[in-house]
Amino acid sequence: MILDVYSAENLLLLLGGLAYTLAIVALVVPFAMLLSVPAVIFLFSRLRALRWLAKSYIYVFRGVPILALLYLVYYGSSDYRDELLALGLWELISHPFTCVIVTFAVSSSAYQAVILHGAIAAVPKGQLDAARSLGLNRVQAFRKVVLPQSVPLALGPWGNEVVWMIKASSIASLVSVYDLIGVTRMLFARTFDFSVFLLPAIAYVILVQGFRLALRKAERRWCKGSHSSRYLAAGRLPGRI
Amino acid sequence: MPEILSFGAAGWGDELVLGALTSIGLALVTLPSGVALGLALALLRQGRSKALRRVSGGFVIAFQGIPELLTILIVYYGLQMLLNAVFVPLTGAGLELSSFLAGVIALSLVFAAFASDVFLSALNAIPRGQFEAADALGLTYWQRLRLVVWPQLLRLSLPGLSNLWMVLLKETSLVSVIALHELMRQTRLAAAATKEFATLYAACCVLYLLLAMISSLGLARIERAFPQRDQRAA
Repeated sequence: MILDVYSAENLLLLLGGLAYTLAIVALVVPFAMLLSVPAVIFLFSRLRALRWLAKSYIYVFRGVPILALLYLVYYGSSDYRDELLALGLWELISHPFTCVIVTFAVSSSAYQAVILHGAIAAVPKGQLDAARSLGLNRVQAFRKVVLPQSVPLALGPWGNEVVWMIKASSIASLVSVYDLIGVTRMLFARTFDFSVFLLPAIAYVILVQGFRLALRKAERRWCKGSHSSRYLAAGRLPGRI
Repeated sequence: MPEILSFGAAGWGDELVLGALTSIGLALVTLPSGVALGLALALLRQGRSKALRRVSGGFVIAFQGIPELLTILIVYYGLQMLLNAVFVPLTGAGLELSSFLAGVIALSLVFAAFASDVFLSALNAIPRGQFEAADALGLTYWQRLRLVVWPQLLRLSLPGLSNLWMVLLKETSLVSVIALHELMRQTRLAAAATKEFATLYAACCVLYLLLAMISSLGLARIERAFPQRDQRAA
Protein backbone atom coordinates (compact mmCIF):
# COMPACT_ATOMS: atom_id res chain seq x y z
CA MET A 1 0.00 0.00 0.00
CA ILE A 2 2.67 2.47 1.07
CA LEU A 3 4.82 1.53 -1.94
CA ASP A 4 1.80 2.00 -4.13
CA VAL A 5 1.16 5.59 -3.02
CA TYR A 6 4.78 6.69 -3.08
CA SER A 7 5.67 5.22 -6.45
CA ALA A 8 7.94 7.33 -8.64
CA GLU A 9 5.01 8.05 -10.90
CA ASN A 10 2.88 9.41 -8.05
CA LEU A 11 5.73 11.50 -6.68
CA LEU A 12 6.07 13.04 -10.11
CA LEU A 13 2.35 13.80 -10.08
CA LEU A 14 2.74 15.50 -6.71
CA LEU A 15 5.66 17.54 -8.00
CA GLY A 16 3.51 18.61 -10.93
CA GLY A 17 0.85 19.62 -8.43
CA LEU A 18 3.38 21.67 -6.51
CA ALA A 19 4.34 23.44 -9.75
CA TYR A 20 0.68 24.35 -10.30
CA THR A 21 0.38 25.66 -6.73
CA LEU A 22 3.46 27.83 -7.13
CA ALA A 23 2.29 29.02 -10.54
CA ILE A 24 -1.06 30.14 -9.10
CA VAL A 25 0.65 32.15 -6.36
CA ALA A 26 3.27 33.62 -8.71
CA LEU A 27 0.60 34.77 -11.16
CA VAL A 28 -2.13 35.90 -8.78
CA VAL A 29 -0.06 38.05 -6.40
CA PRO A 30 1.44 40.48 -8.97
CA PHE A 31 -1.76 40.53 -11.02
CA ALA A 32 -3.76 41.42 -7.91
CA MET A 33 -1.24 44.12 -7.01
CA LEU A 34 -1.79 45.69 -10.42
CA LEU A 35 -5.57 45.55 -9.94
CA SER A 36 -5.34 47.11 -6.50
CA VAL A 37 -3.62 50.28 -7.77
CA PRO A 38 -6.72 51.89 -9.35
CA ALA A 39 -8.74 50.97 -6.26
CA VAL A 40 -6.21 52.75 -4.03
CA ILE A 41 -6.12 55.78 -6.32
CA PHE A 42 -9.91 55.94 -6.15
CA LEU A 43 -9.79 55.65 -2.35
CA PHE A 44 -7.66 58.81 -2.22
CA SER A 45 -9.79 60.61 -4.80
CA ARG A 46 -11.45 63.94 -4.07
CA LEU A 47 -14.65 62.70 -5.70
CA ARG A 48 -16.98 61.02 -3.29
CA ALA A 49 -18.45 58.79 -6.01
CA LEU A 50 -15.03 57.31 -6.83
CA ARG A 51 -14.23 56.74 -3.15
CA TRP A 52 -17.58 55.06 -2.71
CA LEU A 53 -16.95 52.87 -5.78
CA ALA A 54 -13.58 51.69 -4.45
CA LYS A 55 -15.01 51.09 -0.99
CA SER A 56 -17.87 48.97 -2.36
CA TYR A 57 -15.45 46.97 -4.52
CA ILE A 58 -13.32 46.23 -1.46
CA TYR A 59 -16.32 45.51 0.77
CA VAL A 60 -17.88 43.05 -1.65
CA PHE A 61 -14.75 41.10 -2.50
CA ARG A 62 -13.59 40.92 1.10
CA GLY A 63 -17.00 39.80 2.29
CA VAL A 64 -17.58 36.89 -0.07
CA PRO A 65 -15.66 33.62 0.39
CA ILE A 66 -13.20 33.04 -2.43
CA LEU A 67 -14.77 29.62 -3.07
CA ALA A 68 -18.24 31.13 -3.61
CA LEU A 69 -16.70 33.68 -5.94
CA LEU A 70 -14.86 30.98 -7.87
CA TYR A 71 -18.00 28.89 -8.33
CA LEU A 72 -19.94 31.97 -9.42
CA VAL A 73 -17.40 32.82 -12.11
CA TYR A 74 -16.60 29.26 -13.20
CA TYR A 75 -20.11 27.82 -13.33
CA GLY A 76 -22.10 31.02 -13.62
CA SER A 77 -20.20 32.09 -16.73
CA SER A 78 -21.78 29.24 -18.72
CA ASP A 79 -25.11 31.12 -18.53
CA TYR A 80 -23.48 34.00 -20.41
CA ARG A 81 -21.50 31.95 -22.91
CA ASP A 82 -22.57 33.92 -26.00
CA GLU A 83 -21.87 37.30 -24.43
CA LEU A 84 -18.44 36.17 -23.20
CA LEU A 85 -17.64 34.64 -26.60
CA ALA A 86 -18.49 37.97 -28.21
CA LEU A 87 -16.17 39.74 -25.79
CA GLY A 88 -13.43 37.18 -26.41
CA LEU A 89 -13.34 36.28 -22.72
CA TRP A 90 -14.89 32.83 -22.97
CA GLU A 91 -11.57 30.98 -23.40
CA LEU A 92 -10.17 32.75 -20.36
CA ILE A 93 -13.10 32.06 -18.06
CA SER A 94 -14.06 28.56 -19.16
CA HIS A 95 -10.61 27.09 -18.60
CA PRO A 96 -10.23 26.14 -14.90
CA PHE A 97 -6.67 27.39 -14.47
CA THR A 98 -7.12 30.83 -16.03
CA CYS A 99 -10.50 31.18 -14.34
CA VAL A 100 -8.81 30.59 -10.99
CA ILE A 101 -6.12 33.17 -11.76
CA VAL A 102 -8.66 35.84 -12.72
CA THR A 103 -11.02 35.19 -9.80
CA PHE A 104 -8.30 34.95 -7.15
CA ALA A 105 -6.59 38.08 -8.48
CA VAL A 106 -9.81 40.08 -8.21
CA SER A 107 -10.43 38.79 -4.68
CA SER A 108 -6.85 39.35 -3.53
CA SER A 109 -6.74 42.83 -5.07
CA ALA A 110 -9.40 43.96 -2.59
CA TYR A 111 -7.23 42.84 0.33
CA GLN A 112 -4.07 44.30 -1.22
CA ALA A 113 -5.86 47.62 -1.80
CA VAL A 114 -6.62 47.84 1.92
CA ILE A 115 -2.98 47.09 2.78
CA LEU A 116 -1.59 49.65 0.33
CA HIS A 117 -4.12 52.30 1.34
CA GLY A 118 -3.39 51.74 5.02
CA ALA A 119 0.37 51.93 4.50
CA ILE A 120 0.13 55.18 2.54
CA ALA A 121 -2.34 56.72 4.99
CA ALA A 122 -0.05 55.80 7.90
CA VAL A 123 2.70 58.10 6.63
CA PRO A 124 2.24 61.38 8.54
CA LYS A 125 0.63 64.08 6.43
CA GLY A 126 3.38 66.53 7.31
CA GLN A 127 5.75 64.54 5.11
CA LEU A 128 3.68 65.32 2.04
CA ASP A 129 3.26 68.97 3.06
CA ALA A 130 7.01 69.32 3.60
CA ALA A 131 7.77 67.77 0.21
CA ARG A 132 5.24 70.05 -1.49
CA SER A 133 6.66 73.11 0.21
CA LEU A 134 10.10 72.14 -1.12
CA GLY A 135 8.62 72.55 -4.59
CA LEU A 136 7.98 68.94 -5.53
CA ASN A 137 4.76 68.38 -7.45
CA ARG A 138 2.15 65.91 -6.25
CA VAL A 139 3.50 62.96 -8.22
CA GLN A 140 7.11 63.64 -7.25
CA ALA A 141 6.20 64.10 -3.60
CA PHE A 142 4.33 60.83 -3.61
CA ARG A 143 7.05 58.90 -5.45
CA LYS A 144 10.08 60.26 -3.63
CA VAL A 145 8.79 60.92 -0.13
CA VAL A 146 5.56 59.08 0.72
CA LEU A 147 6.01 55.80 -1.17
CA PRO A 148 9.51 54.98 0.18
CA GLN A 149 8.11 55.35 3.69
CA SER A 150 4.99 53.29 3.11
CA VAL A 151 6.63 50.31 1.39
CA PRO A 152 8.32 49.10 4.59
CA LEU A 153 4.98 49.51 6.38
CA ALA A 154 3.17 47.43 3.79
CA LEU A 155 5.75 44.64 3.66
CA GLY A 156 4.51 42.70 6.69
CA PRO A 157 0.79 42.72 5.85
CA TRP A 158 1.65 42.09 2.20
CA GLY A 159 3.60 38.99 3.29
CA ASN A 160 0.52 37.78 5.16
CA GLU A 161 -1.43 38.17 1.94
CA VAL A 162 1.10 36.04 0.03
CA VAL A 163 0.94 33.40 2.74
CA TRP A 164 -2.82 33.50 2.53
CA MET A 165 -2.63 33.01 -1.24
CA ILE A 166 -0.25 30.04 -0.91
CA LYS A 167 -2.93 28.39 1.22
CA ALA A 168 -5.93 29.60 -0.77
CA SER A 169 -4.44 28.24 -3.99
CA SER A 170 -5.59 24.83 -2.72
CA ILE A 171 -9.18 25.94 -3.38
CA ALA A 172 -8.39 25.74 -7.10
CA SER A 173 -8.55 21.95 -6.74
CA LEU A 174 -12.34 22.28 -6.31
CA VAL A 175 -12.73 23.33 -9.96
CA SER A 176 -10.53 20.45 -11.15
CA VAL A 177 -7.17 22.19 -11.24
CA TYR A 178 -4.57 19.55 -10.38
CA ASP A 179 -2.54 21.58 -7.91
CA LEU A 180 -0.89 19.95 -4.90
CA ILE A 181 -4.22 19.32 -3.18
CA GLY A 182 -5.93 18.30 -6.42
CA VAL A 183 -3.31 15.59 -7.02
CA THR A 184 -3.46 14.54 -3.37
CA ARG A 185 -7.23 14.10 -3.46
CA MET A 186 -6.95 12.11 -6.67
CA LEU A 187 -4.32 9.82 -5.12
CA PHE A 188 -6.44 9.41 -1.99
CA ALA A 189 -9.50 8.50 -4.05
CA ARG A 190 -7.43 5.86 -5.86
CA THR A 191 -5.70 4.27 -2.88
CA PHE A 192 -7.60 5.28 0.28
CA ASP A 193 -4.21 5.50 1.95
CA PHE A 194 -4.46 8.23 4.58
CA SER A 195 -0.70 8.81 4.65
CA VAL A 196 -0.95 10.48 1.25
CA PHE A 197 -2.06 13.67 3.05
CA LEU A 198 1.19 13.86 4.99
CA LEU A 199 3.53 14.93 2.21
CA PRO A 200 1.52 17.94 0.97
CA ALA A 201 0.87 19.05 4.55
CA ILE A 202 4.62 19.17 5.16
CA ALA A 203 5.19 20.86 1.81
CA TYR A 204 2.73 23.67 2.65
CA VAL A 205 4.21 24.22 6.11
CA ILE A 206 7.70 24.46 4.59
CA LEU A 207 6.48 26.87 1.90
CA VAL A 208 4.63 29.12 4.32
CA GLN A 209 7.24 29.07 7.07
CA GLY A 210 10.09 29.50 4.59
CA PHE A 211 8.42 32.51 3.02
CA ARG A 212 7.71 34.05 6.42
CA LEU A 213 11.31 33.66 7.60
CA ALA A 214 12.68 35.06 4.34
CA LEU A 215 10.35 38.04 4.60
CA ARG A 216 11.32 38.69 8.21
CA LYS A 217 14.96 38.64 7.18
CA ALA A 218 14.29 41.05 4.33
CA GLU A 219 12.35 43.33 6.68
CA ARG A 220 15.21 43.42 9.16
CA ARG A 221 17.70 44.10 6.40
CA TRP A 222 15.92 46.77 4.38
CA CYS A 223 13.44 48.28 6.75
CA LYS A 224 15.73 49.20 9.59
CA GLY A 225 14.39 52.13 11.52
CA SER A 226 10.92 51.81 10.08
CA HIS A 227 8.18 51.39 12.59
CA SER A 228 6.06 48.86 10.80
CA SER A 229 5.68 46.65 13.84
CA ARG A 230 4.63 49.59 15.98
CA TYR A 231 2.00 50.71 13.49
CA LEU A 232 0.73 47.14 13.31
CA ALA A 233 0.55 46.77 17.07
CA ALA A 234 -1.38 50.02 17.32
CA GLY A 235 -3.91 48.59 14.90
CA ARG A 236 -3.28 51.35 12.41
CA LEU A 237 -2.33 48.94 9.66
CA PRO A 238 -4.77 46.35 8.45
CA GLY A 239 -3.66 42.78 7.99
CA ARG A 240 -5.41 39.59 7.19
CA ILE A 241 -4.43 37.54 10.19
CA MET B 1 -36.60 38.34 -7.53
CA PRO B 2 -36.44 35.35 -9.88
CA GLU B 3 -38.88 32.57 -9.13
CA ILE B 4 -36.07 30.11 -8.54
CA LEU B 5 -35.14 31.94 -5.33
CA SER B 6 -38.69 31.92 -3.95
CA PHE B 7 -39.57 30.01 -0.82
CA GLY B 8 -41.62 26.83 -0.88
CA ALA B 9 -41.66 23.80 -3.16
CA ALA B 10 -40.99 25.67 -6.41
CA GLY B 11 -38.02 27.76 -5.34
CA TRP B 12 -34.73 27.14 -3.61
CA GLY B 13 -34.82 30.20 -1.35
CA ASP B 14 -35.68 28.23 1.77
CA GLU B 15 -32.96 25.65 1.06
CA LEU B 16 -30.36 28.39 0.70
CA VAL B 17 -31.47 30.14 3.89
CA LEU B 18 -31.35 26.81 5.73
CA GLY B 19 -27.82 26.34 4.43
CA ALA B 20 -26.87 29.82 5.61
CA LEU B 21 -28.21 29.00 9.07
CA THR B 22 -26.07 25.85 9.11
CA SER B 23 -23.04 27.96 8.16
CA ILE B 24 -23.75 30.35 11.04
CA GLY B 25 -24.28 27.41 13.40
CA LEU B 26 -20.96 25.88 12.36
CA ALA B 27 -19.13 29.15 12.97
CA LEU B 28 -20.91 29.76 16.30
CA VAL B 29 -20.04 26.29 17.60
CA THR B 30 -16.44 26.63 16.41
CA LEU B 31 -15.92 30.01 18.11
CA PRO B 32 -15.87 29.00 21.81
CA SER B 33 -13.71 25.92 21.29
CA GLY B 34 -11.35 27.88 19.06
CA VAL B 35 -11.07 30.70 21.60
CA ALA B 36 -10.49 28.29 24.51
CA LEU B 37 -7.85 26.31 22.62
CA GLY B 38 -6.23 29.50 21.36
CA LEU B 39 -5.97 30.92 24.87
CA ALA B 40 -4.49 27.66 26.17
CA LEU B 41 -1.95 27.71 23.34
CA ALA B 42 -1.00 31.32 24.08
CA LEU B 43 -0.45 30.50 27.77
CA LEU B 44 1.63 27.44 26.86
CA ARG B 45 3.68 29.39 24.32
CA GLN B 46 4.86 31.78 26.98
CA GLY B 47 4.80 29.28 29.85
CA ARG B 48 7.72 27.99 31.88
CA SER B 49 8.02 24.53 30.37
CA LYS B 50 10.37 24.44 27.39
CA ALA B 51 8.90 21.19 26.03
CA LEU B 52 5.36 22.62 26.10
CA ARG B 53 6.59 25.82 24.47
CA ARG B 54 8.05 23.77 21.64
CA VAL B 55 4.95 21.60 21.20
CA SER B 56 2.53 24.54 21.21
CA GLY B 57 4.81 26.50 18.89
CA GLY B 58 4.92 23.56 16.48
CA PHE B 59 1.15 23.22 16.61
CA VAL B 60 0.75 26.88 15.68
CA ILE B 61 3.24 26.68 12.79
CA ALA B 62 1.52 23.53 11.48
CA PHE B 63 -2.05 24.78 11.54
CA GLN B 64 -1.17 28.27 10.32
CA GLY B 65 0.72 26.73 7.41
CA ILE B 66 -1.53 23.88 6.28
CA PRO B 67 -4.38 25.13 4.05
CA GLU B 68 -7.77 25.01 5.76
CA LEU B 69 -9.06 22.74 3.01
CA LEU B 70 -6.34 20.17 3.72
CA THR B 71 -6.94 20.42 7.49
CA ILE B 72 -10.61 19.70 6.93
CA LEU B 73 -9.84 16.67 4.76
CA ILE B 74 -7.22 15.35 7.20
CA VAL B 75 -9.53 15.72 10.21
CA TYR B 76 -12.50 14.19 8.41
CA TYR B 77 -10.77 11.14 6.92
CA GLY B 78 -8.28 10.75 9.77
CA LEU B 79 -10.87 10.75 12.53
CA GLN B 80 -13.13 8.45 10.53
CA MET B 81 -10.29 5.95 10.17
CA LEU B 82 -9.51 6.27 13.86
CA LEU B 83 -13.16 5.65 14.73
CA ASN B 84 -13.22 2.61 12.44
CA ALA B 85 -10.03 1.24 13.99
CA VAL B 86 -11.54 1.57 17.46
CA PHE B 87 -15.19 0.67 16.96
CA VAL B 88 -15.17 -1.98 14.25
CA PRO B 89 -13.18 -4.55 16.28
CA LEU B 90 -15.18 -3.70 19.41
CA THR B 91 -18.73 -3.68 18.15
CA GLY B 92 -18.49 -5.08 14.67
CA ALA B 93 -20.06 -1.96 13.22
CA GLY B 94 -18.57 1.36 12.25
CA LEU B 95 -19.45 4.71 13.76
CA GLU B 96 -19.96 7.42 11.20
CA LEU B 97 -18.33 10.74 11.91
CA SER B 98 -20.68 13.66 11.30
CA SER B 99 -19.27 16.18 8.84
CA PHE B 100 -20.51 18.96 11.13
CA LEU B 101 -18.35 17.70 13.99
CA ALA B 102 -15.35 17.19 11.69
CA GLY B 103 -15.83 20.74 10.40
CA VAL B 104 -16.02 22.15 13.92
CA ILE B 105 -12.84 20.32 14.96
CA ALA B 106 -10.86 21.31 11.86
CA LEU B 107 -11.93 24.97 11.94
CA SER B 108 -11.30 25.14 15.71
CA LEU B 109 -7.72 23.94 15.22
CA VAL B 110 -7.09 26.62 12.58
CA PHE B 111 -8.89 29.32 14.56
CA ALA B 112 -6.92 28.45 17.70
CA ALA B 113 -3.58 28.63 15.90
CA PHE B 114 -4.30 32.19 14.74
CA ALA B 115 -6.11 33.23 17.93
CA SER B 116 -3.07 32.26 20.01
CA ASP B 117 -1.12 34.97 18.16
CA VAL B 118 -3.82 37.50 19.03
CA PHE B 119 -3.86 36.44 22.69
CA LEU B 120 -0.08 36.43 22.88
CA SER B 121 0.24 40.03 21.75
CA ALA B 122 -2.65 41.01 24.03
CA LEU B 123 -0.88 39.33 26.96
CA ASN B 124 2.23 41.33 26.17
CA ALA B 125 0.16 44.52 26.09
CA ILE B 126 -1.01 44.09 29.70
CA PRO B 127 1.28 46.20 31.90
CA ARG B 128 3.74 44.17 33.99
CA GLY B 129 2.58 46.01 37.11
CA GLN B 130 -0.79 44.26 36.85
CA PHE B 131 0.86 40.86 37.28
CA GLU B 132 3.06 42.13 40.10
CA ALA B 133 0.09 43.68 41.88
CA ALA B 134 -1.81 40.39 41.60
CA ASP B 135 1.17 38.55 43.07
CA ALA B 136 1.50 41.12 45.84
CA LEU B 137 -2.15 40.51 46.75
CA GLY B 138 -1.34 36.82 47.09
CA LEU B 139 -3.56 35.62 44.26
CA THR B 140 -2.94 32.12 42.91
CA TYR B 141 -2.10 31.52 39.22
CA TRP B 142 -5.73 30.78 38.33
CA GLN B 143 -7.14 33.67 40.38
CA ARG B 144 -4.70 36.01 38.71
CA LEU B 145 -5.72 34.69 35.29
CA ARG B 146 -9.45 34.92 35.97
CA LEU B 147 -9.68 38.17 37.91
CA VAL B 148 -6.81 40.28 36.59
CA VAL B 149 -5.62 39.03 33.21
CA TRP B 150 -8.80 37.75 31.53
CA PRO B 151 -10.93 40.96 31.70
CA GLN B 152 -8.09 43.00 30.21
CA LEU B 153 -7.14 40.29 27.73
CA LEU B 154 -10.65 40.12 26.31
CA ARG B 155 -10.75 43.85 25.65
CA LEU B 156 -7.28 43.92 24.10
CA SER B 157 -7.85 40.90 21.86
CA LEU B 158 -11.34 41.84 20.71
CA PRO B 159 -10.26 43.55 17.44
CA GLY B 160 -8.07 40.58 16.49
CA LEU B 161 -10.78 38.07 17.37
CA SER B 162 -13.36 40.05 15.36
CA ASN B 163 -11.06 39.78 12.37
CA LEU B 164 -10.72 36.03 12.90
CA TRP B 165 -14.50 35.66 13.17
CA MET B 166 -14.95 37.24 9.74
CA VAL B 167 -12.32 34.86 8.34
CA LEU B 168 -14.01 31.91 10.05
CA LEU B 169 -17.38 32.81 8.56
CA LYS B 170 -15.89 32.61 5.08
CA GLU B 171 -13.94 29.43 5.82
CA THR B 172 -17.13 27.55 6.67
CA SER B 173 -17.73 27.39 2.90
CA LEU B 174 -14.81 24.94 2.63
CA VAL B 175 -16.61 22.41 4.81
CA SER B 176 -18.89 21.79 1.82
CA VAL B 177 -16.19 19.44 0.47
CA ILE B 178 -16.98 16.92 3.20
CA ALA B 179 -20.66 17.06 2.31
CA LEU B 180 -22.01 19.25 5.10
CA HIS B 181 -25.21 20.87 3.86
CA GLU B 182 -24.20 24.45 4.54
CA LEU B 183 -24.78 27.39 2.23
CA MET B 184 -22.12 26.50 -0.35
CA ARG B 185 -23.22 22.89 -0.75
CA GLN B 186 -26.92 23.75 -0.79
CA THR B 187 -26.17 26.17 -3.62
CA ARG B 188 -24.26 23.51 -5.54
CA LEU B 189 -27.17 21.07 -5.15
CA ALA B 190 -29.67 23.68 -6.24
CA ALA B 191 -27.52 24.64 -9.22
CA ALA B 192 -27.07 21.01 -10.25
CA ALA B 193 -30.83 20.44 -10.10
CA THR B 194 -31.95 23.56 -11.94
CA LYS B 195 -28.96 24.51 -14.17
CA GLU B 196 -29.51 28.13 -13.12
CA PHE B 197 -25.87 28.57 -12.20
CA ALA B 198 -25.38 32.33 -12.36
CA THR B 199 -28.55 33.23 -10.42
CA LEU B 200 -28.01 30.70 -7.65
CA TYR B 201 -24.31 31.35 -7.12
CA ALA B 202 -24.94 35.10 -7.16
CA ALA B 203 -27.62 34.59 -4.48
CA CYS B 204 -25.12 32.53 -2.48
CA CYS B 205 -22.54 35.34 -2.68
CA VAL B 206 -25.16 37.87 -1.59
CA LEU B 207 -26.09 35.71 1.40
CA TYR B 208 -22.43 35.45 2.47
CA LEU B 209 -22.10 39.20 2.10
CA LEU B 210 -25.19 39.66 4.24
CA LEU B 211 -23.71 37.42 6.94
CA ALA B 212 -20.52 39.49 6.86
CA MET B 213 -22.49 42.75 7.10
CA ILE B 214 -24.57 41.57 10.05
CA SER B 215 -21.44 40.28 11.77
CA SER B 216 -19.49 43.48 11.37
CA LEU B 217 -22.42 45.53 12.69
CA GLY B 218 -22.75 43.19 15.68
CA LEU B 219 -19.03 43.18 16.36
CA ALA B 220 -18.87 46.98 16.24
CA ARG B 221 -21.62 47.08 18.87
CA ILE B 222 -19.78 44.63 21.11
CA GLU B 223 -16.54 46.58 20.80
CA ARG B 224 -18.33 49.80 21.69
CA ALA B 225 -20.03 48.16 24.66
CA PHE B 226 -16.68 47.19 26.15
CA PRO B 227 -15.55 49.64 28.81
CA GLN B 228 -12.32 51.37 27.87
CA ARG B 229 -9.65 51.43 30.52
CA ASP B 230 -9.84 55.20 31.08
CA GLN B 231 -13.59 55.43 31.27
CA ARG B 232 -14.08 52.65 33.77
CA ALA B 233 -15.44 54.03 37.01
CA ALA B 234 -13.67 53.02 40.18
